[in-house]
Amino acid sequence: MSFHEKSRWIALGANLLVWGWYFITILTAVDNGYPDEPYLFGLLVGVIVAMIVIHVVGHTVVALLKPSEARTELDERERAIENRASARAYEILSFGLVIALGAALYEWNTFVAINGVLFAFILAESVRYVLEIRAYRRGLA
Amino acid sequence: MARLPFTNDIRTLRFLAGEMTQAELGEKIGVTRQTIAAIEQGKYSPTLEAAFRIARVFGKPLDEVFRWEG
Repeated sequence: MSFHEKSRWIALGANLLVWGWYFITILTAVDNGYPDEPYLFGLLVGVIVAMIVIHVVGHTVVALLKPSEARTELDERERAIENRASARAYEILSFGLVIALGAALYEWNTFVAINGVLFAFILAESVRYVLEIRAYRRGLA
Repeated sequence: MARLPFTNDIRTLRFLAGEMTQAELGEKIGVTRQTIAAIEQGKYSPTLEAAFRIARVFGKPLDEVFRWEG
């Protein structure tokens, strides 16, 4: 498994774990009435810090386990995999943004707008990672 | 996943070239060991540039490394 494939597994795991927890927490909070802005802001800062920590620690561990394969530049196959997955993720992001903004207009408030856009972005990123991992496993033929 | 319409003899050529490893070949043409493995297994179609580089490493013309079977 190449360094970049491992990197995608880390990113996907972090997305599912951290952002999954965030959106479940948000939905629970909505059940109890819309949370106030300081609450939302605090939660977001916590999630962003957790994501940074997971990425830094995860990539450091992977690099230390096999230093010879740790690198940042992509080769031609990895670029092709990334380009193909990004194109599909962009479609999902565009569609998700339209839905999110439509929902925000229907029931306009900052909370729905921020979280709708955020969800579309995280969903698109997660789909990109899944497609990349699938291409790494099954090939690009 | 559909198979590529061509095969290659990279594995044999590596063996004949002093049992060159996938990592060594990858280093010579600027790709990872995993990309060489994917090319050998027909899971990735290399760019024309990479194909020429591989052929050049073994001192063979392109059609002695890659064969069209579509």
